[in-house]
Amino acid sequence: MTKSNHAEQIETITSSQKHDQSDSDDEHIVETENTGRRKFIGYMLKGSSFAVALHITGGALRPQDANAQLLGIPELADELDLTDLLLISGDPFYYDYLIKITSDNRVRFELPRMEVGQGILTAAMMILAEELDVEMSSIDATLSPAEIRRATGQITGGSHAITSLWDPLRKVAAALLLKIKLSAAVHFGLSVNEISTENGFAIDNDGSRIAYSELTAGVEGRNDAARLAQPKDPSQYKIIGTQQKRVDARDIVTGKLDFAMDLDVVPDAMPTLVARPPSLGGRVITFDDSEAIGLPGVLAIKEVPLDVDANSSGVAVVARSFGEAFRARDALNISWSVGAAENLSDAEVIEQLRAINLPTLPNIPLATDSVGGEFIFPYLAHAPMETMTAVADATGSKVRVWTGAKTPLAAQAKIARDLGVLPTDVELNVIQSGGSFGRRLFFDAAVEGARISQIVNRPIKLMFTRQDDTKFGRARPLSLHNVKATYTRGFLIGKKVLSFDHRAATAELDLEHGFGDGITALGGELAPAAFSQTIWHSTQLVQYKFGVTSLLLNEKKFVVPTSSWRGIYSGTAAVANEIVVDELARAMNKDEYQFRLQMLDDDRSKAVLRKVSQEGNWGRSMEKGRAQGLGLHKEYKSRAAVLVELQTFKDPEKESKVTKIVVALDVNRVLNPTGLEAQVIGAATDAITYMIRTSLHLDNGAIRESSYGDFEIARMRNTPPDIEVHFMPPNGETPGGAGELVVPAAAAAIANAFARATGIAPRRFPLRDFYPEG
Amino acid sequence: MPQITFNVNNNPVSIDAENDDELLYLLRDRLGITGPKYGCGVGVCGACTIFKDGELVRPCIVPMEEVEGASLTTIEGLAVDDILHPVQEAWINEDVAQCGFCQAGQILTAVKLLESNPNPNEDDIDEAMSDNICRCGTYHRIRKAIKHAAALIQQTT
Ligand code: FES
Ligand code: FES
Repeated sequence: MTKSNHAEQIETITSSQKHDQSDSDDEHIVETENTGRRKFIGYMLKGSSFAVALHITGGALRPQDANAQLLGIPELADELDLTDLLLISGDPFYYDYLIKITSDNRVRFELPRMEVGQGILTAAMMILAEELDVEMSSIDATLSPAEIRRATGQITGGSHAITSLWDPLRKVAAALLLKIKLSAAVHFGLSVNEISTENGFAIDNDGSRIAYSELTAGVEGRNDAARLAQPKDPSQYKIIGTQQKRVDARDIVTGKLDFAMDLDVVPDAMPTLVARPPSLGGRVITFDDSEAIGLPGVLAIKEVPLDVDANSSGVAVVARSFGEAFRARDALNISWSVGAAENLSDAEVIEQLRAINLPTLPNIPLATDSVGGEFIFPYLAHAPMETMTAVADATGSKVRVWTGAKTPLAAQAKIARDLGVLPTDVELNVIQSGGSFGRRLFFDAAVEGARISQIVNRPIKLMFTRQDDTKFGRARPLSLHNVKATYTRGFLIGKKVLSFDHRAATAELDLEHGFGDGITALGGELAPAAFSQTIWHSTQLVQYKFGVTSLLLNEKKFVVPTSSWRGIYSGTAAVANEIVVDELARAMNKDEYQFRLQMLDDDRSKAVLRKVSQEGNWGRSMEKGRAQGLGLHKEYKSRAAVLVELQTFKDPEKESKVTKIVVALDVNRVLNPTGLEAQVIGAATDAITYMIRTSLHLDNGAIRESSYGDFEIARMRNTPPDIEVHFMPPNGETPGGAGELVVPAAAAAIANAFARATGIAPRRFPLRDFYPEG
Repeated sequence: MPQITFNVNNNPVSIDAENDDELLYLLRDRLGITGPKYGCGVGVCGACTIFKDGELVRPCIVPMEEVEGASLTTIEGLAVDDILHPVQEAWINEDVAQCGFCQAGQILTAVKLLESNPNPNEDDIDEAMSDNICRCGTYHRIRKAIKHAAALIQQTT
């Protein structure tokens, strides 16, 4: 069998107008089943089938309107946020789905998004099952490979997946259902209004039933009436809003879910590791493989350029097993040139960032006071449980890659450029992966893997070791934030907040991954050079009535490769803001909860705040060393409030412990409460990791940490049994995003609880490193 | 060429041992048993956890010679004749998994915990499970699933 699954999918689309597959095609598919990609089973068998892809362009905002708004609004995110930008740029392409009814009356569906554990596949299937009137269990869903026609519509990031699926997928599914009903009307000789649908069957007014798969008349070709189809009214929902377990839960608990390194798609793809330089940006000067090449199982050893930092190089080892590759790698004698940033360490990065940070507004002597200060957030690894991996075969006329990529089209384009082929000659298959947290916005293993496959001229399985991923992988950029809130001293009238300033200077955030392509596709006015400014301004806001607010960013590039970490800028900047909100409340002799309620400029935020305060019993008396803390966040069309209880210890051997977490969320409408709750708790756990426990350190041009042993993410004992998550009722709006939403709110709540328990103003993180006696 | 012989998920295996691979890579790359995952390669994450003669081991740090004559169970061998182990049932019922990459190790570790302690409290769970990392942060549901599994096991015995 020479054809790939991908080729067959394309064929499926183009052949969807024929509904009669030849016998040879049937056999062909049976072979596909035998290759182990069981998820592709059951489509394009004999009989009828139809696919639907509607192109409906135009959204609420046209690009020119968007640009008009982009100019001159200091707090852009209040008017037009990153979610809007992603929706505007992706909108023309979001209506393109492959949905097929197969001859055995199942639904085959391809999702042009990436599943990394966030449950998007399950949520998408829920929408489809709801609108098509089929059961969840009759849908066979897979992830779409990179497809150039999807342009800006194939990206998973910025927590916009649900929001961007909501209207398009409902409308497309409703259109398909209308086609089915029209066809059933012809079949039964009735009018379409007399047809009902249920569990994959169309039913006439006497209760006669016909399977969707039996209906073909009138479903092919143009059917403009279908465009008029209306998605269901929420009052009819049977699936959306109910608890749905992950569709792959059984495969996961039995060890059957395949990740990229488990695939057998290219039988002779061999395990490959890379010996990487001791410091970032280092290069191979010479290497001697005489002690490695003869070791058992070793197949090839070659010097290769490295992707994460294009100036550096390493030595790739291909072997029969990863163990053999490890042994050969360790037997290499390599002399390295040191990286350009040989002497660069955290302290120096901080100094340089301080030097470029813009000044905050001065106080007016005698009349005003201020709170705030300088906050520093360290480099942080994403550390997804599955490291960066890719199966790559660049030996044939087409380059074929299987990898976890959230921006597959950017990956495809980069591989094409790198290997000197056309993007259409790169087949990029998107494989479900073991976590992302922002890391898989980049596709370093895919690019490196394709390149190595070309150099060694064999198919390979490239795996970053945990050490590679920690030391050479990407990181959340180190960032420095000067936050200052000014208020009148209030001799005559009460104290009044006058201004809120945030000046961030961060190590440059690499956004090359095509997140940018989506937004710069707005018409070119948003220059790529200004792209990080766009992301900053479309995500950062202050949701309180604090007078004049200004939030500004300056960036500088350093040697450490970077990628957005769950929350992008908000995981740091918004946390610093919320810490200062607490400090401002205390400076004005107000309770932190009451002060927020009074100053909030947003009713939905007030509601979630009230909710956590009630449910979490805000203000209850606590033992010495323990305290509650609050944090809010508004982004992705959603709102979050978090209340934590924290126990601190004077003993430097003991770290602060979160003993309770209460979260309230307003995401407009919850699709799958169990999936969303998992995201929320995961995000709160992330906050424990980076606020209390761990970070990376840059030491003389190299990252000091190497594995989970020294990059100590939260474990079972660091997370409380007592966690409550509350959702606000649906409000009729499009569902907002939530994958990252709780990170800043939970992080702020932890810092604020720490300040209230210890009296220490938290300025540097993780807390256990900087305030060991708190 | 030296051979080693052992049993994995009730299947006998005999394979050349010329390369002194760690057991994880032998299982994954040469025997195609991919349930145990590579998370760290140095024994600190638990993603590769399996049973060796009834004890939990981390095959990323077990030299293959040590399995001569041993009997191994990986996640693939936990369900018997497609009947899930109560811990697997509980994992599905509580919808524990996010990305799923750590879960084979979590499940086998929980199986061992419940074998030695059928009714663990929060501290017992902390103690038994804190050497297994879940980067997605599913700990809260793991706790619930362990209690759920404990109840399921008690019902059936
Ligand atoms: S891979 Fe074996 S413990 Fe991490
Ligand atoms: S579920 Fe993703 S690491 Fe545990």
